[in-house]
Amino acid sequence: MSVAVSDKHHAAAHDRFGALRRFARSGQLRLLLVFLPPALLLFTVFVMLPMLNASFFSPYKWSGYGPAPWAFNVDTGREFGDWVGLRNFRQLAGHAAFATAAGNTAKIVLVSLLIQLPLALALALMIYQKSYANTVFRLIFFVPYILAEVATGLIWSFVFDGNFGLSRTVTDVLQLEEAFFPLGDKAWAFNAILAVIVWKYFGFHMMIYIAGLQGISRDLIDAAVVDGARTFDLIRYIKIPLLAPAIAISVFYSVLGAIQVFDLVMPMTAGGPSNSSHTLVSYLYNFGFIRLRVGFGSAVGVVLFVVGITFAFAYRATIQRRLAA
Amino acid sequence: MKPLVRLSGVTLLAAVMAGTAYADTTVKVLSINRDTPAWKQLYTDTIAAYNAANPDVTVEIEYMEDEAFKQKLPTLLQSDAAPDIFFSWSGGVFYEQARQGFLRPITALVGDDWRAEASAGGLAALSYEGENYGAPEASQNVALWYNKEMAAKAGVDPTEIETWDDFLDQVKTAKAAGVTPIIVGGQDKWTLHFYYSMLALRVMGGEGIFASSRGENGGFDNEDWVRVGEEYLRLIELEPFQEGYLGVKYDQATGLWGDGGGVFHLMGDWDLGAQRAASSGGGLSNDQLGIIPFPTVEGGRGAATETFGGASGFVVTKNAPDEAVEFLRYFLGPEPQAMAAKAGVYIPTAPAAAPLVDDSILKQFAAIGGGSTFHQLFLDQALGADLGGAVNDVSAQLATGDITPKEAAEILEETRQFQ
Repeated sequence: MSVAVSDKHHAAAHDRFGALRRFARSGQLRLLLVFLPPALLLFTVFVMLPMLNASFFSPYKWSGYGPAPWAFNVDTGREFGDWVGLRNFRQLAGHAAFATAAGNTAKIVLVSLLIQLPLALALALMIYQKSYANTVFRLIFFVPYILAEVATGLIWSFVFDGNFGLSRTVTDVLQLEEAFFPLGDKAWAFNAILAVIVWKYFGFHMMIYIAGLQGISRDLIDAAVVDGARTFDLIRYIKIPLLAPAIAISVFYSVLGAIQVFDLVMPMTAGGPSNSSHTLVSYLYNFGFIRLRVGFGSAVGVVLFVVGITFAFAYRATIQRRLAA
Repeated sequence: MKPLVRLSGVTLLAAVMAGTAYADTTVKVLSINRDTPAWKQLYTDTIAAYNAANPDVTVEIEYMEDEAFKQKLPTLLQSDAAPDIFFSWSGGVFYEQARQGFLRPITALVGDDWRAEASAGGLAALSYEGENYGAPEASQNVALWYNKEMAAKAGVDPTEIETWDDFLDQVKTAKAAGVTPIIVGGQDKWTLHFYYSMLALRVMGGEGIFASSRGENGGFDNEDWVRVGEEYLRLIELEPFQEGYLGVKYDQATGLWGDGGGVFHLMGDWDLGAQRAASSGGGLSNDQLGIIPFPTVEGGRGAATETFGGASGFVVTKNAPDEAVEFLRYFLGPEPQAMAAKAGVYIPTAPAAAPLVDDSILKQFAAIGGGSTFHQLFLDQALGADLGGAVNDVSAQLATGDITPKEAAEILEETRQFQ
């Protein structure tokens, strides 16, 4: 009995060594040793450590001066920060501007999913086939995505300016009595930002769909046409089902991107009027860092991280797994 | 031979060591970018003169763009590369630096002579819990600007304004005449906070604000602050600002002002140059402009001579040598400040230099500063970044009708208690 067990062990160990040896001989080990450490190091230093730090900072009241809130300051004889436990999170929960910011972020997610992606899909279906005209359209639709976020924000803030911008021109052409200042109007400011978000990112998703559509076999479509399928049948029964993996990816990026919107908001409204157009990230920046409350900002960061990671894992474990199966 | 070589080596080493002991103490100065060539030249000349007069001290100056300066300073102050003297806007960030022990208290070195030649208000702005940490350079004052042509068009005479009610009446008259009464860049909330803060200054005086910040009289949740909000709302209800003012930043707003967009503009002295730079038609000339102090509020405890604005200067870091403090006194002393005044570089704080200001508008600002009985630092700086930010928030929220004056007072008090 015991002999048999040890034999089994031996065989397993032998197998493992064999696998390792084969792995080493194939050159993959060398590849791993060369390429993994730098990537791992960069990831650890610039992604993992800041995330961990944020969670360590979040139970402190800390201005950001000193290496860490718990570090001892020899000049003052106390720590740089003060431990406040869950106070930052409690304050967050009770802050109306945070609720607005969270609501706005949710709005971006909804608008991305319900307007931006369908729009991208519709355009992709129209122009995915290779032709000269389609290439031109693709380029035009993709240009907004290439623009830097801050530049985009500035451009649109000029467009929406009721004194000199396009908004003024529209007022003049329609001979309206009052000029329209969407960014100065609480009811409109965030909707204006939403419109710009759709405008800026639909091209990216359109490109994902175009790549997916071009991968669909011509034979399938031809066969369906022979069977009498019309344009909408093709889309409904062939193209969209086969595009499912691409849609899944684009939804994933869309939601994660929505959670992170920041650079468009700052030049357009800076979160105003009276904190009505903040997103979670612009809220974090304004109420955390600008106001020298790194602990509080970190608490917002933790919330943001939890939301992002929960979505990412839940999405991967459900929808993407089902698609892969 | 060999011992001799060794000996000479040791001698050489000793000589070098002794040399460093004798040699210059280097004083490193870090300033924000001085965009006007005259300002930079003033620094260069002052430092050159000091270096020439003090052979055992070498002063070096470095410039950093504003935003880079703000971002790098916290790290820089904790490193060996920390400067000995650096620029400060005073206020919340300065308080934090002092509180965390990054600055050197220089109270003992600021003797009576120095106190006599520097501005008392400026020195106070750069002190924390009774200790001096630096010396003042320029001061900024906020006053009510008016455009003479637009005032004539609106049929008002701003020089008659004494009380808040007078001001509101003229706003009404202008509005009725179809002229935009006030220009403001409300997206930057600090421009709105000028109204709210200056009303606070007039209602309860600098002392009242200080008492609130220390939690006395119910902190910010008291009748005075509610009154401030109410007076502010009286203005807001007249819809006195240009259309879409909440979507415009200061830069654009002052461009609009410079193009003759309205009758009044509550802004600091820096706006003289700023409106010219931002406007499309070259801006308003000194002759087209007038300024008056912010009106008083009936029954208020704050005098018309209490001023509101900024105070900037230079502070000393914790490891700085005494030579740095000596240089600081010279650097921001009456001589360079007099040169600054004459050349119109900035409005100096030194009492001896202020009367030398030549520009007709800046002269009036210097007079306002000179006659100041109390200088209230911008509330968004004086109260620290957090509570100050809340003042900005409520100023905007009141303007959009989101909160009542009572709620504004409560928000401020709640923020204060969290500090």
